[in-house]
Amino acid sequence: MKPLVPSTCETNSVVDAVSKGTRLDGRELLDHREATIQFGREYGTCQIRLGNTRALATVRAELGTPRPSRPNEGTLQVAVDVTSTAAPGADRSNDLTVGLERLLERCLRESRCVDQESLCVVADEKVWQLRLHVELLDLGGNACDAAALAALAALCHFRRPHVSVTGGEVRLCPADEAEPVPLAVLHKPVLVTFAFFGDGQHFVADPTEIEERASEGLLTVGMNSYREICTLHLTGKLLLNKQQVLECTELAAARARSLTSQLRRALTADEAERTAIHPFPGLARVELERMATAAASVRLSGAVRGPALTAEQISEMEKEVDEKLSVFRHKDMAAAAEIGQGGASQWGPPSDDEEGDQDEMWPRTAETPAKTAPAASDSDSEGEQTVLHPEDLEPHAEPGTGKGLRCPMPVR
Amino acid sequence: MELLSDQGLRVDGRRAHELRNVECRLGVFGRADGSAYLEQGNTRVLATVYGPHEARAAQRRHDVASINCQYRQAVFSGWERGRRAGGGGDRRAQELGALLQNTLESVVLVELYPRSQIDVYVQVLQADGGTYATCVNAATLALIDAGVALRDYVCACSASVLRDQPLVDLNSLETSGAPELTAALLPRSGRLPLLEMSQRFHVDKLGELLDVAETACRDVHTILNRAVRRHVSARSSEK
Repeated sequence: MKPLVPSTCETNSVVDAVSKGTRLDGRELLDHREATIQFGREYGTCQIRLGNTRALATVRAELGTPRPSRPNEGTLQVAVDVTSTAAPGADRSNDLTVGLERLLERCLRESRCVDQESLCVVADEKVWQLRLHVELLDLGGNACDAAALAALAALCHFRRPHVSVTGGEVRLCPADEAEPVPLAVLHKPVLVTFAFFGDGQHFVADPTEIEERASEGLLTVGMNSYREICTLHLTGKLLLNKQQVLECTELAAARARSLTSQLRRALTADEAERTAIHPFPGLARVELERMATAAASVRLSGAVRGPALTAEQISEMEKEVDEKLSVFRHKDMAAAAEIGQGGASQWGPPSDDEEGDQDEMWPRTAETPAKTAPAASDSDSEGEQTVLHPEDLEPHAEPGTGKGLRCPMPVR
Repeated sequence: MELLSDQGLRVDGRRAHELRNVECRLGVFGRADGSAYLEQGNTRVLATVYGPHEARAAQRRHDVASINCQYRQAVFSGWERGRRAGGGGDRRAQELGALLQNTLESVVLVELYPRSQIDVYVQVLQADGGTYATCVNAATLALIDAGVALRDYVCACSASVLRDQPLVDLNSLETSGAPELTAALLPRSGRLPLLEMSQRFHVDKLGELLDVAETACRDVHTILNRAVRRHVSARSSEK
């Protein structure tokens, strides 16, 4: 699909509104949309909503060799992806993803946001390689800011495993031995974007998609709460003068301060939730998963492992696990519930030989227990679950009659 | 190694406000519609312009010309030889190409060439800091050599601040050690079509940095203007 050229009347109405001091969504010229920060179950996953724009960032770490030019520093790699749900087909312009990747690299890596020297394990041999992956789930304007905030939140939230170095050997300590370690984040840079109209005379903060398309250009300012500028980026056919740049940086400073305090509050709240389950948050997950697997295996196999457990004990265990897991489950469901409510499954019983990969394909509803919790944890925390709306399916879809949605699996 | 000594001298012996030595030549390629070779200190850049010519169907726009920019850095241009084919090197080239396109689109009178395409190819032969600014300057000269209508010169320069002392035209050593702001200027109107920076500095220094960058860009403009006039008078006296 070719990118749509904005129509003249669309452009004119936006420019007209801005020159009169109003915006199409009712905000003031310099008002920002509110950002909602949501952390996932895994450490280092975060979803940001900025109006209609959604960005999901994940951080993963693995041990590897350092770059030859910097032998005692870890590395941070940024990858940005525009999902097909956000922009179908050929509309996923390469320029957008490359531009955003470079912008995030400059904002986060070149401004020394994460202390990369602290990621060194054995100089010249082993360092932590961080991979930051940002997915743009929805483009509602100002993808820059959302992606940057998601990336920053994910980096602040992330915990890497503890390593012990004995002699020449490096050992990764599992979470039940040593609490995972957060990254050393030196400062928190956020990006703030402004769109300019009328030959640079008027500008708006936090543009929506239609305002971006109608604008002459965008100025993105990266700032942290210490009033330090981390990035400046001009796109489009924009000509600025010095006064406008200084004005924008002042506004960006205020926004950066409010966003970083919001992020700090969200991080504290998330930490409190995890510690409520277990005083050592890293262990909370491991212990819960162990309990969940034990309870589930007892129920599934029908056999009793270890000391004989009565039926009451089993059901008690299950209740306890469900209660504790519910805190985490609401994080997954919260993400999915934002997208849609999801109806009860309308499919008939599946065929026997397909049960193996069923768990990955279908979303976990409240009834099904966390059967394959360790395996599915990666995909769950993404929050990208296929959700079926009951109203989308044809009413009374009999399995096997071919009515309703078409599915690749044979349905009896 | 100190980037700025107590006597106010930088690593290459310049003072804080001094630009590097600039050498430029226009019309270096016979085949291209316009070309220019520019040296700023040890940074050497070659720019060629093809066009305006008929646009490819995908790029054709009915009311304005489309500008296509490509930035390439030679494998022998940096400290270490060789760039990986994909990954970091390619992405940076793509980013700078897009940035160059944005900068030039604001200055070329694209309304005069509807349904056409102007190709600008920039090749960095030696990179010693300030490569992007040199590319913009070289592209301007090449566009002038090609006879493409421009609103004004685009003159770019990099600036920084080190221990409260503003510096201009950084080389690669200074780039890795201090934050760098690259700004381009249209001298007649004093407006900025380009602003890029790396690392971080305090916002209170931004005003001073922009002033210093503007002065440096105007100095670059003087040099480029002189070179263009010299080239034109040499060409006209040939005939």
